[in-house]
Amino acid sequence: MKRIYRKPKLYILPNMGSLSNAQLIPLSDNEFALYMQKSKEIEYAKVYKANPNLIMRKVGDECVLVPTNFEIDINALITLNPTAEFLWKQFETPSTIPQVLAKARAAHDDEDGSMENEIRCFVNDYVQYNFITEEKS
Amino acid sequence: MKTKWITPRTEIETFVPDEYIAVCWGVACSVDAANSYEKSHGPSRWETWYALGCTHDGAHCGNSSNQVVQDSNNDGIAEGMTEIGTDGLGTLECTVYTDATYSTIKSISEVGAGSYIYWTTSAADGRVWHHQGRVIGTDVTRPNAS
Repeated sequence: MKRIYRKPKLYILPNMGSLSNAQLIPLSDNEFALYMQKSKEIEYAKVYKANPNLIMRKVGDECVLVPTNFEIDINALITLNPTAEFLWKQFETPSTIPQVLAKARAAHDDEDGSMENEIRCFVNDYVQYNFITEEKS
Repeated sequence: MKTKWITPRTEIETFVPDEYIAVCWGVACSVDAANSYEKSHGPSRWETWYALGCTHDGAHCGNSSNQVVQDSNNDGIAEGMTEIGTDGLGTLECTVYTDATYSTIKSISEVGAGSYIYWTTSAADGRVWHHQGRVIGTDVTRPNAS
């Protein structure tokens, strides 16, 4: 029996532990799974906040982030789709990933079970661009 | 009612200027040091450049946007330097020297952001202004603002 074709997806998730990629290679599958679980726990304990130097503006149906100073070193127009806009709004209040995930689950149907990893990737990407920053405790 | 979850997407559309804009650097003359030079040097033993009107001030050569070092093909090597905001003398070509003796000409290609340089500008009547200052870079990631 044929299976339903699903669009291939690649999730690039952060390594929050202290081991480098080279040090991860010799780990057994169990050790690797344990390490990734620990990394995820560290990731989920962090509080993230939308960078206040980006202001969200609605232009017609489009949602655009506008840098307000040179801290965001990008000479570009940043356009969000409705899901990214939803996530951005959640992180305007300092939040952990599990807190935002709970709100996303309350508001959306997650038919293919991709929501959690996509939120993690969203945060990972936005942190790299300095669009979202980690709140230091 | 719940809405369907769709993959969050962010499009970053980089601004590209319609016209070619050369990378350029600015340099402000250190007016105190330059005026000091003009007061102690001159074309003859009996007159100083300063007495002949070769003075420096913040509104003209002391402003970093007044002198422009140009790299018109963006290869990181400067091709020329001009003073554009003179006090009634129009645009002047700058001659760059290796040091404060203003005796050995330095190639403009050796000048870049961060260099401390010595340069002269001349008027048609023979007066020479002796400038010095540090080259500062414009932000190449924001060509529209340069």
